Amino acid sequence: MAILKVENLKTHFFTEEGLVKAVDGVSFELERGKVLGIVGESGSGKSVMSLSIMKLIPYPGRIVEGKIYFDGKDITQANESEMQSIRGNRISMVFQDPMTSLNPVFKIGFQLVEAVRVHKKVSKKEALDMAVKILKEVGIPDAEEAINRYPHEFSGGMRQRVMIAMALINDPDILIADEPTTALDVTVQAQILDLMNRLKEEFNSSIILITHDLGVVAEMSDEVIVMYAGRIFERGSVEDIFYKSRNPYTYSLMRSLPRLDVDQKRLQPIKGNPPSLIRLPQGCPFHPRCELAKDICKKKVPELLKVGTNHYSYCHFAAELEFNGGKVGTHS
Amino acid sequence: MEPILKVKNLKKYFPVKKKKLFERRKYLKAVDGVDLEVYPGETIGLVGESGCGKTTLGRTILKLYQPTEGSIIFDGKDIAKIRGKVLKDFRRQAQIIFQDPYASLNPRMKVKQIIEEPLIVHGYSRDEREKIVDEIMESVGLNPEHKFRYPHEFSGGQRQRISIGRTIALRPKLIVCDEPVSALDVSIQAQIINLLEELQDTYKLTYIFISHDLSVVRHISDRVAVMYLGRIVEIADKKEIYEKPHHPYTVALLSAIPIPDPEKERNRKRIILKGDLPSPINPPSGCRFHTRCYKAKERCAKEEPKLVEVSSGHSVACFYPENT
Repeated sequence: MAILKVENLKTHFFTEEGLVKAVDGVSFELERGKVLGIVGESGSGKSVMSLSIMKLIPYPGRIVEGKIYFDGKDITQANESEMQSIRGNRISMVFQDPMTSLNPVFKIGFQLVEAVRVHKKVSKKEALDMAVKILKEVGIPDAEEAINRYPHEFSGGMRQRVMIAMALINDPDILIADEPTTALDVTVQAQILDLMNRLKEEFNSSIILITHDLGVVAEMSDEVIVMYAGRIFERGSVEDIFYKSRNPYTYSLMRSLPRLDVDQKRLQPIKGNPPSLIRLPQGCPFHPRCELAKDICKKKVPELLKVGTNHYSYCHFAAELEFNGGKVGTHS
Repeated sequence: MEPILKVKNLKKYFPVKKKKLFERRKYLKAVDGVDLEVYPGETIGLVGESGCGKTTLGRTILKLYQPTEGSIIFDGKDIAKIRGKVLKDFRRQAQIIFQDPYASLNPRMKVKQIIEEPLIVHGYSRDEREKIVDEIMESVGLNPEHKFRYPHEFSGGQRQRISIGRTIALRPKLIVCDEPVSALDVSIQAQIINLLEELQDTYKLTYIFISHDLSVVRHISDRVAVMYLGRIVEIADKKEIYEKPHHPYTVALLSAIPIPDPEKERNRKRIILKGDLPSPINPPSGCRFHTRCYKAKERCAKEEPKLVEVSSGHSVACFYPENT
């Protein structure tokens, strides 16, 4: 059974400038032990979606519709104390910036112990042992010493390891990683991704990996969701998305990337800019930037169509299209 | 062909604040002995991790920092020690594009004023300025009718266009592009990269393109220099460096970048480097990379390898290079 099931989730922000539909009708399932990659540009709603799952949506936003079933129970109905027993315990989160997500005035040992003792009835000594063990697990050298250090004594990559250790210390069912490597250098990114891959197997956790980097998605994910303007534009297995995409946005995005492995004469950018969520274009929100847009795209909002086993695309022409974005440029 | 820019043994040290009164003053050696030649009309990519000195090198070349040691020959003249009017004249020929289009444009100035400012500094008349501003806006893909708008009315990509417009207003020969697309969305990056390429053709520009993104650098550069802790460890033609990297650091760096092709990604061998970049205040002895290198032997900790040419145009600083 799926550990997480999201049904028609809508998270809207009631701002002074108007209604922002940051997440607007999103449905998906996450299986145990799998990695779900969520890609999208800034403003596509990928971060708000993960915050919705944690029920950590900042004011003036709230979930206006939809259900989130975690382990069979709808957590949109859960109250704050129920959520607190889930957060950091059964669903935990790693954020982009390891500089700001640790408390600078406490030693990291204390912060890890706190994360354990909020949820489990264990002594300080036992919790500290757990902290040392998990720090070793994530590859912090001299873990026994390290627990007595403050966050500023660690480098960016090491801090991100501490964050991952903290997220994993209670052996969560789901780890949500929101751009976990964006602030890091590529060599350190490789270390962290390697670590996450190892831990996934060891702990059998499910991972939701949010990123704008299609390379990271290709490396890490089993399933992929492509988001644009608060909606799922395409959803499927990593092979579906990269080799048999049925969505013009997915393909345009892949085609616009400069590649490390392929020579390209000219890049093929997507024209225009991502739309403002307050004033979305009529019809398909991507139509002003889409090369294949026809009349119907300007008028009618598409639906998420099923185009294969577990493969869905949000496009009027999903049935007729197929793109191979993963091999873009390799043959020409 | 004569190089437009020739950098020899360039060093830039920053003093570090003393912790005790009688302590010896320490220096952060951001750029520590760089030799580099840049030819007219080419794009040279400068890559490396944060803290490797690539930005400092770019800025020192433009004399935004006063070099600690070494010479910078631009167009046949040593500009390392120039000041005053000569420096101002140099500025007109060498410009910079910054990373963050949100921070590098004055929010209180209209687009016209932003693009016009370098022209005022260099004494263009009002009529000339009017003409140039319209022309520039057109060539960077902005509507000249929008010249009375403020930066906040534009998106990130458009702001970077404004910033590029300001840079090329004086028709410089050399432009240092310091991570010009890193702050932009994926779908916008390609627009700006294409624009930079078009402008290079139109105005015969020479670029020093600084980036940590090796995919972008591969696309835009003719030659690539890899930096590590203030030194260039490898420099070669683009094709050479991506297909036959010699320095273990270059090899590791290239292998660390995920490719958006799941099949290829699964079959790739990744070299995971241990640890982080060492401090440039106290760099390791011998080869600076030996503490993280998977090929390091005893000799690497004692002796410092020099940047030597191993094949035409391909130089590397390593005792035990790969792919040779």
